[in-house]
Amino acid sequence: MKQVHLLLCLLLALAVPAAALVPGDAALGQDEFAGMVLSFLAGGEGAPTLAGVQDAAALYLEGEGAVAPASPPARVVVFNGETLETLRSLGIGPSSVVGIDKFSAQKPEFFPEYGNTTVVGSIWSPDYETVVSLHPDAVFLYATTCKEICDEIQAKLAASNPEIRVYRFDCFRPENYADDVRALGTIFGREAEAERFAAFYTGALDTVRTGTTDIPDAERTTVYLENWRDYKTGAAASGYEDKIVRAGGKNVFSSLAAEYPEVDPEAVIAADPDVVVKLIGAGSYVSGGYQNAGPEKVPEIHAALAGRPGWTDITAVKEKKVYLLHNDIFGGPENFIGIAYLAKWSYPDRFADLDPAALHQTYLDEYQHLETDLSGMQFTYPAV
Amino acid sequence: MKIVPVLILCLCTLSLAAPALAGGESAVREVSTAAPAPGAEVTVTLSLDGCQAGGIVETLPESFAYVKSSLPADRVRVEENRVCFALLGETTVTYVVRSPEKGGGEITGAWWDFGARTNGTVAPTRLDVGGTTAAPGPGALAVLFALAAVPLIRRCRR
Repeated sequence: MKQVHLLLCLLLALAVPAAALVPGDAALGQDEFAGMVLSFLAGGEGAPTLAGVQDAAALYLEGEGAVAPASPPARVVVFNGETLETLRSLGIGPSSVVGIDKFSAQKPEFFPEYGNTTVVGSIWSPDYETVVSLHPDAVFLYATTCKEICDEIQAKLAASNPEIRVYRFDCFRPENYADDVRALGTIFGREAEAERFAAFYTGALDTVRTGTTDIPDAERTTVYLENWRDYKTGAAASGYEDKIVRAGGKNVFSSLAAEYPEVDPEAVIAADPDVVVKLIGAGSYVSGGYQNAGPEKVPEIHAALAGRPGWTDITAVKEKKVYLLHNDIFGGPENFIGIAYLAKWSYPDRFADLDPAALHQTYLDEYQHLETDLSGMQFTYPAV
Repeated sequence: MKIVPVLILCLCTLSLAAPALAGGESAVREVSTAAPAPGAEVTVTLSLDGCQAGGIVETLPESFAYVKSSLPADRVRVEENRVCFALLGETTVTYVVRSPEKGGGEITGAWWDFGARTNGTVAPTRLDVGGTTAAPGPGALAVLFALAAVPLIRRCRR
């Protein structure tokens, strides 16, 4: 009988710490988190974003140390350059990153520290054998870009080694980039670095936002943004429009049906934009940027753009507001620099004190820890 | 000659293992029956291993009705034929659906592990009211192969 009592006492003693291990009784309550999950799963208007739920999950799971967080990954493979760049902003480099994608490997000017790092192919042609041979404890893939392809990679990795953690981040969308940064900080135990960098990023965007909020819709600068394919632009659902709007502008081709339509040359003339921005750095316009390829061609590209047939009557051309913007500072994590340029070009009086080049240099010096001197490099043209 | 029965046995073993090896899915669905009687209840069990903060959305065939689940009511949301489950540490969820008088269809599902930032789909499960159970899968075929191989093996041993 005494043995039964002893057993009961032991069970009770074990039960108390077990109860303390139940997650979620701290920063984010179980009920609150469950409600958020259900709202996300049900979808519809007002539903939280996936990134929002993932961040809440991190809070929920780590509330008062209720559940020991997974130890930071020590050997990671990164399949997207945007995440690789963001990790560098958190101080995570080759000592943890054991494999990178081939496109990042092809940018030694921007990723010089990865010269000897193993290349694992790309999301379109992943080298599974090499990935597995690196014995990673985590692999990073895109969250929404090329989703089906990344789903397949994730499934194959899980089949080959279920212990490999797969994390999905885009790390280039302004609407959730700061969330991505903070989540990466949580994963790698670099919360302080993440918070500092997220504050820098959101601070830059907030400067632009607060400087344009009071502009009436009818007075907003109209913008035609063309990428490296001539007459290829973005409509309402595109990332281009999102960035134009963040800079306080109005996209002249917002109403087109396709996300990234190719427009008729006459339509551009008819739209008569206040500002024209052409992205360079890809296609037939591989000039400037970190690679600093053919910088002498940049003025030629600009002259050809402004001199297109019929463009002499466009307001942007008449007022010399035709600009080239390198995609290195627009399409990826550095989008905040491109947005700052867009705002300054659109509202030079309002943003007379805004110095996007200085913002760029600060990013490279303080967060990317690169010894890149921007003077003499072509990221925009003409100079503001 | 001995290689033939050995090869057959190997093929059988592989075909038995195939469902487990395929896809690398993290969420699995099992049903009490794939051919319920009209108006009968079907118990569905979902497993999502290693998930501490996740969710599953199940889409039921049009004429099937959700009845109840093993989770508290505040962790389940039903909207038309979609049933959402919030998983906070549970690795399995059991729920019950009632079959219609006739008809059938597939249960489809999607899962999220918010803590691990992963997601995927749950392989569809076919339900046919009053029908026969689903066609034999690879496991059943393997057993048939194995039975067929026995005489061959015996013959080779002679």
